[in-house]
Amino acid sequence: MLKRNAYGICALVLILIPAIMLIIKHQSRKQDWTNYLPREVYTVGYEFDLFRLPDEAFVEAYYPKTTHRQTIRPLSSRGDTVLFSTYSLPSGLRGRWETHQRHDAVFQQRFEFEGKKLQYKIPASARLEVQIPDSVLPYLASTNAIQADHPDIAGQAWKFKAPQLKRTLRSNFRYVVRMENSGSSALTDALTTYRRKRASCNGKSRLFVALCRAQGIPARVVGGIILNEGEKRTSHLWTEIYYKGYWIPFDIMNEHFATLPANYLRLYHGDEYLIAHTPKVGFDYQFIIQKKHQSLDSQGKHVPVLWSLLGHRLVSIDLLRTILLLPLGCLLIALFKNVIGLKTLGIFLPALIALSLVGVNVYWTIAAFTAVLAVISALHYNLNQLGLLHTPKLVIMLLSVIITLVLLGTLGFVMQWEKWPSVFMLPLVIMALAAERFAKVLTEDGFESAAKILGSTLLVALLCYPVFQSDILIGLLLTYPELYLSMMGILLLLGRWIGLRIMERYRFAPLIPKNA
Amino acid sequence: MIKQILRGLQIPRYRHDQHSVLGINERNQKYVYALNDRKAFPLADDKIICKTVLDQHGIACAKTYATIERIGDIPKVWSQLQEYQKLAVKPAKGSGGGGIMILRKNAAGQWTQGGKPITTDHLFTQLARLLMGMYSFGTSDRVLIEQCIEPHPFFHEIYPAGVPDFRVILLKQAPVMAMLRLPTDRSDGKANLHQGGLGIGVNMEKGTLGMAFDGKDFHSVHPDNQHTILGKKIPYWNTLLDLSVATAKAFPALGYLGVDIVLDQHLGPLIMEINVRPGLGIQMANQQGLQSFLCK
Repeated sequence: MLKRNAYGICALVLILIPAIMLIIKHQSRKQDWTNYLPREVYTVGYEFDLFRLPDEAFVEAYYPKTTHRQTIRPLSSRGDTVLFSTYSLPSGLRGRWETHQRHDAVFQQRFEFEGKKLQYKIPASARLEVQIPDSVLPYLASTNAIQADHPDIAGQAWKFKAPQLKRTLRSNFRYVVRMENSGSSALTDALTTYRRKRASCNGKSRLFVALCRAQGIPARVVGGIILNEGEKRTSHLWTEIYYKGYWIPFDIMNEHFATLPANYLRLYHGDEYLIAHTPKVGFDYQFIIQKKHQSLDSQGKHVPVLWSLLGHRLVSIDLLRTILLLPLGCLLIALFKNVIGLKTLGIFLPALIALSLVGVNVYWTIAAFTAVLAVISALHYNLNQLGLLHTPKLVIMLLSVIITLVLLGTLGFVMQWEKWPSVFMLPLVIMALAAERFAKVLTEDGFESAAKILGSTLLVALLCYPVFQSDILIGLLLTYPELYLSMMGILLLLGRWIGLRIMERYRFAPLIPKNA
Repeated sequence: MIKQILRGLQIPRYRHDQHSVLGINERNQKYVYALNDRKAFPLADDKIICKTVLDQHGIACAKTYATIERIGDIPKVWSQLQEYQKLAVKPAKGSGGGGIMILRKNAAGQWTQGGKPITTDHLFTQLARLLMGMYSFGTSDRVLIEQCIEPHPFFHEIYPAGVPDFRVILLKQAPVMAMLRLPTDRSDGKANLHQGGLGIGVNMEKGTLGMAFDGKDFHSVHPDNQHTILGKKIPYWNTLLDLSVATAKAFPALGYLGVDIVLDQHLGPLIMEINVRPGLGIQMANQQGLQSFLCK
């Protein structure tokens, strides 16, 4: 008896101490949960090239500010000497580069950018706001390029307007997202976009803003650069809407709803030009971007090993995801199996399926998975009729998985299905093993049992999927690795848990008195 | 709900039963892991080893005609089997009835399987496959060839096809619960509950059949032909119980086990196999939780 109690107490201590430590540490740092999101670090250089210079010349461009989601650290500039200054505008920080030399000038202004993903949850119950603070009122106005009060746009906006903020935004968002993309990056106003039903990022953003403004939701366009390794000249336009003191980002072009990816460098808001320069001089520019690494907030530095591996690009974020989150995902599966009583094809299979869902279209991937499994199981059935030996049979199955995946992948490519997942992401060996097990259940217990077990495997995978998809959990586990001790404690308790599984309560329902 | 969780955690205050149903978690922890020595599992999982133990203790089971260990031995063993009229061929480590062949000689003296003549070549190939582990997940296996059971007429009064068997659960050599597994039209000759067979409760004291459970509903008659089940007296019941106890005593390292027993027309009760993780469906067949017996 004492032994059993001691065991339980040990497990409880294992669970509670790290949890309490986490809460205390978290509180004492006054941390915002988003601080646990991994950050992306880039060095960015504005390169300006001026030629045919008169006595003096200048270039002006928006220069990024440090905000709660992006940190800017100036780096030494390169090239010809210029005079650099900044001044503040309501729309953002304006950088000014001046030169007095008579020959051509090339220079690079460099800074380091560290950004984290920004994600807002708009409660489904949130209502459209009636009282808008005065300072935000200008963002309801109709302008030359954002014709919010034009009858066509106002009429469309009226159709989408619902009492709930989220529903209204969803309708606007879907409507504009579904429009065709045009390759041209020429300035397109909201009305033209509405009439042509196609535009690039700037036209789509203006139309989205116009729709919101017509519905009484303060909104504005935002300019910046999507950071990817390399050299580029294109800037990007997205939008923000105002709700209760927050400016919530929406990127129509890349379909980010209330989300801003970590690699978005925000420069300014409002319908402004990114760059201006002395008239009549020769001018060229480009942005030179280098990806440095991913990092965690400074608080995370006491877990140096994995982070520094990530920093030196020895470990990719996806590998880190697997390493860190697989135990948590499997813990969930253990709960599903031993407490709920769902039967799955293997213990790790649902976790691996869930992992393969990260970053792809979930429903299509599940469909593709089921399709592959169906094909392979049919094949397995026939192979069994031939009476093949186990190992060669498994290898044949693996080969067929690959062939099926190639065929499916090609089909998606030829048909140009945009949503078609990269089926090659599916774990090949796992697929072959899954098919083998599935086929075994199929032959031994019949179609109904097999369908049930496949269904619950996919269900468990879907339920575990949010765990694997979460960047915040990666950050949390890296910052507080003691959480693994908590997991260990939970598993120790689960290993001794002898209660009836929930499914057993149904199975044996006639034998269990109602009040038990 | 909270109480259920606390009970599951074996916290003393909450340990008192609200019901007597035994779940998988508890079965594994308190009975299978606690009472069955893992080293003794092969005694149960391998039919040939199991029968060796049974034979040593003189416990009635189907007579072993031959065992085959190597592919090269197949022709020699086969030639020794020609005196028999009927054979059951089983992979030693097979489970769920996989790979079992019933062979009969027809009037012309030819061997047949499922009513169709079978050539020696084909038969040898089949035997070789069993030896190479077709039904034992890739590990090599042995083949057991034994006497074929003729089910007792008692069963045919209820349902005329397949081989029904009794499952007796024993805790520390004492029988606690039993059921009869009977095929149906749906189960295609198989008697397993999850393959569509019937699980019929057994009154241990009287040796009579109880209600039949088909996975959904309870019946007092066989659902396919309306023949009476409820209350039918089981022949040789006491012999059958004694046999199950003798079996449990033959495997002292297995404190919790399920013993499968058939009734042969001529030989009476015979042990077919033993199971170290007997299923929990027996509780539904008997409409009673196992715990009420196990706790005594």
